[in-house]
Amino acid sequence: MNELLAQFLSEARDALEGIGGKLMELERAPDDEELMTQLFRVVHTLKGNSGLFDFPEMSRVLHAGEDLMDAVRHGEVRYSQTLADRLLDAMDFVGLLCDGIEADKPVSADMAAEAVRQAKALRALISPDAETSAQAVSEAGAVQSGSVAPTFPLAEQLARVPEVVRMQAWAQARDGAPLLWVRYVPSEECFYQGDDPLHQANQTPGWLWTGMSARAAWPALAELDAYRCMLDFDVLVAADRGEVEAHYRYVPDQVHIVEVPALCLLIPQGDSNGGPVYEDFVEDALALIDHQDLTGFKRAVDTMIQLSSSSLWLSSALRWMQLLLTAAQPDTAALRRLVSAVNTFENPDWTEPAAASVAPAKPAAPAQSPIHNNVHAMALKNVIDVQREVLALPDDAAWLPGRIKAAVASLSGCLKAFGRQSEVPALEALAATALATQTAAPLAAWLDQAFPEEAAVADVPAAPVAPVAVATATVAPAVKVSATVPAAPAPAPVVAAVVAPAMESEPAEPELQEADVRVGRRPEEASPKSLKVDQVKIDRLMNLIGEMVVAKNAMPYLANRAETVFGVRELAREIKGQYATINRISEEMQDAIMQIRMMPVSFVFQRFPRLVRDISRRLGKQVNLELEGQETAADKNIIESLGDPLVHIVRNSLDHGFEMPEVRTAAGKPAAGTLRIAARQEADRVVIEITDDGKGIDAQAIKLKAYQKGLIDEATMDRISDQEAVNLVFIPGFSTSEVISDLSGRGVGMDVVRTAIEQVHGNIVLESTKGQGTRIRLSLPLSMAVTNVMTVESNQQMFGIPMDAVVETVRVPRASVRTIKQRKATLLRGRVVPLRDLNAVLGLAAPPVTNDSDEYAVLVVRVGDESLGLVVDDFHETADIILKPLSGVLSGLRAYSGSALMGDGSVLMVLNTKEML
Amino acid sequence: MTIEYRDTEVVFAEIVGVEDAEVLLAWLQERSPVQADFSACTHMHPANIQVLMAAGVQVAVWPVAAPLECALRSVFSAGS
Repeated sequence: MNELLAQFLSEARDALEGIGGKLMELERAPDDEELMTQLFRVVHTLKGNSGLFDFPEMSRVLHAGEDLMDAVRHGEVRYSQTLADRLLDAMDFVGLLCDGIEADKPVSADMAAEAVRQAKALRALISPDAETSAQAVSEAGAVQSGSVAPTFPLAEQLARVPEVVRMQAWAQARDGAPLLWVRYVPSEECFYQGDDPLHQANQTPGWLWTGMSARAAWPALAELDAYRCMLDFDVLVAADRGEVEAHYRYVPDQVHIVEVPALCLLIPQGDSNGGPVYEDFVEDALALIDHQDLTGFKRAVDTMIQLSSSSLWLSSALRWMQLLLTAAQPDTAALRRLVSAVNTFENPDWTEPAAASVAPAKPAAPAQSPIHNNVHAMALKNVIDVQREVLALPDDAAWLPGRIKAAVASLSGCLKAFGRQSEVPALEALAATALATQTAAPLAAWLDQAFPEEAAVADVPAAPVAPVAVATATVAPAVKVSATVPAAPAPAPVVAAVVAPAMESEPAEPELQEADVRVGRRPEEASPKSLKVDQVKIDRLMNLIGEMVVAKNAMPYLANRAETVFGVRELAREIKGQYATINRISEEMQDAIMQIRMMPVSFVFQRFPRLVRDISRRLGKQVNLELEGQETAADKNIIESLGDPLVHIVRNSLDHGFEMPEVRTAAGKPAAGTLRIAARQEADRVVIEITDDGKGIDAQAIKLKAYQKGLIDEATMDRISDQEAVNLVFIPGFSTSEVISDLSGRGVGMDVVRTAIEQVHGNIVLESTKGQGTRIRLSLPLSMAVTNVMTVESNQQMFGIPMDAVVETVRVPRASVRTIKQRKATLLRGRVVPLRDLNAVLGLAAPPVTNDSDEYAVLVVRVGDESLGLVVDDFHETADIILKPLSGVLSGLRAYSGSALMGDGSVLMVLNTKEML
Repeated sequence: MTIEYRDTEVVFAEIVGVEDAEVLLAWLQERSPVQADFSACTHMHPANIQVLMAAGVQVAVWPVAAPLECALRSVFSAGS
């Protein structure tokens, strides 16, 4: 992808987000002209940019959007919810197109058709005659899907084509080429746009013939506007539909394409003089055809043609007979009809079944569109295609039976319409099997077998590119999210402030200094001179700095060796001095890069106005969304990992938390509920609170449900407080559909939410008051690239424990360790703390070692809400490490959250207390 | 010159562009009837064609270029 395109895509996404946001704002202030003008400008710019590239679909939709916004801006159209809906839809579609471009996928015919539909839908809002436009929409959509009933008589049109061209076309069709009739109706303004429709028509792939026709009677020359296009173009081509559609991809709404059945080209033309004198020929010729004597028949035709003047209708018919005979398997039915037609000089109706022509005297059927049957076949193909798609959908949906029944109803209708009633019972039997086994596969198989032709021509539409949710990639297991940032699926560039590390600042008190920098150097506070950098580049820098930190940590060991092994004290001191300098610089660098990775929570928040709007409209609820602290920044990984849990919580709140407006009014609350999402920074954590004033959670009901499900015993049920009961929703397995219907439904997937938050070392607190609302508080670290760990020794091995899990370190005299039910415990400041030997936990046989005063080293760690004492051999210093997730087969070891390289080159295994204990 | 204006005939050569339509229209308004000679014309912008159609021009010589000929034949009749 070239850089210009990458830049365009990145800007397009920003613009789309901007458009979505502005539309939401407009919904609250529909008369804000300034906002409207801004919105127009964004759409206008985006359209202009898309024009730089070859994206006609995108330009078309954006152009329509721009025109609509222009009309709104000038007060011609009033802003409405429908308008917002359509624009949002259109922008979603443009987003899809961007995804497609990014993935280097060509635009499918379906997407092109959708572009036309979107543009028409937008324009329908501008035009006062919306009904006509709406009709045009369905028409245009139909053209693209190939099911159009043409608005012009094809037979008449084909008769315009000279015989020699038709014969050439027939010959091509005989050799397997598809024949298409293209009606191209350019817009009246096309000349002003520099178009040359005749050139366009003549350049159609597989071109055979171009015809023109005037749209209306010509005005007097004095009133004629030469530059207003008044011509329609008809083109006969022998080419694949796809090629032709691609040729007209910039004007798909101005083109009708229909297939031309080869037989329809057989239109004898000429002087019909003569009449009954040919009766003998007809009689003989029919007899020859009946006796399968095609050689004799050909002789008769050849003789007849020599005797006839070439301008006669008869000669034309004879020439067609000659041509038909050139086929490897001449179509005797067609020949017979052509011969019979000589009696009446009426052109045969090729759409009638051939059997009708057995009665030779009356070959002509009532006038009917020659492509009538063709339309039926297309309609059948469409119906079959749709059913095939429907049946190919995954079987796990709850509405599968309905889907099967609908498909069967459609298919049996088709069978009846095409005279295949006998197959209906078989189909119904299959449907019963499909319903019983809950799978659509047998029906799909039957479909392929029963309609093989339709299967052959069925063009399976490319599935629309699903928008890639960037956040999903980061809600991976905890080990994934660490210093090494997994490459995001889409190159979502982060806005990097140009940070000049303050090299002159004092190296002392690194923690304080770090906090200072964090507060003082937010990206949003930096100068507006920002630049966009690919995330991969930042990640690389991050990894390099990680390596440097490890290398730097080797220097104290070096100094130690210089002193103890080589006995050079002086050198050791110098190395230590140098270490201090390098340490300071590396810390600065680390901090600088962390600042670059910081992004505001608005990145996640901005999706909520749309989400809340859509869901609340769908549910018929009224919800006001309040967003606060959008500028609060945290590490990109943290922000991204917030996306899914937050969406989940918001959905839950809308779906189950808020009551319907009438219920709210009855309860004395305002009809519109308030959903507040607030973010703020507290020390080194970012806190997000989601508050709603809905119906809250019924703690008693939760208790009862948990008891019934066997999750808590009777004693617990009586003992636990309401607050504790509310937190039962986090228990995995609590979220069943049964719960949703009985309770407020807060339990839906809340365990998943908690897991996702905990994976990035965050925690979640839920508080709810029945009837008043619910508050969920998420607390996450600001950054997670560097982990501060406490190192401990156990059985002569070093282990790391993240500092945020460590409560305290204590020395416990052997005498103070008591055994309660074979479990060791001790009393710490009036609290019983259970003890576990780290050796035992890790499966090491060695007993814990005490120090000289016969005291155990106990590391008190937090596990959930409880404290637990981990008995180790000795404590060591804390260290900042770059935690690398375990890879390969080791990644299955959940007792470790990762490993880190220490300065002396050893590997420190970092324990995952949550999983281990 | 891609267009040569004679007394009762207009002769087209090579590619006749969109910009010629206005002059052609003005010229045709003052004359009737007119014949057109397309023999050396390879392509003509439809703006010109619709001016010729509206003026009821008859074709004296058809173009050699097949696509143009076939398009013109679909709307013009031959001259006397």
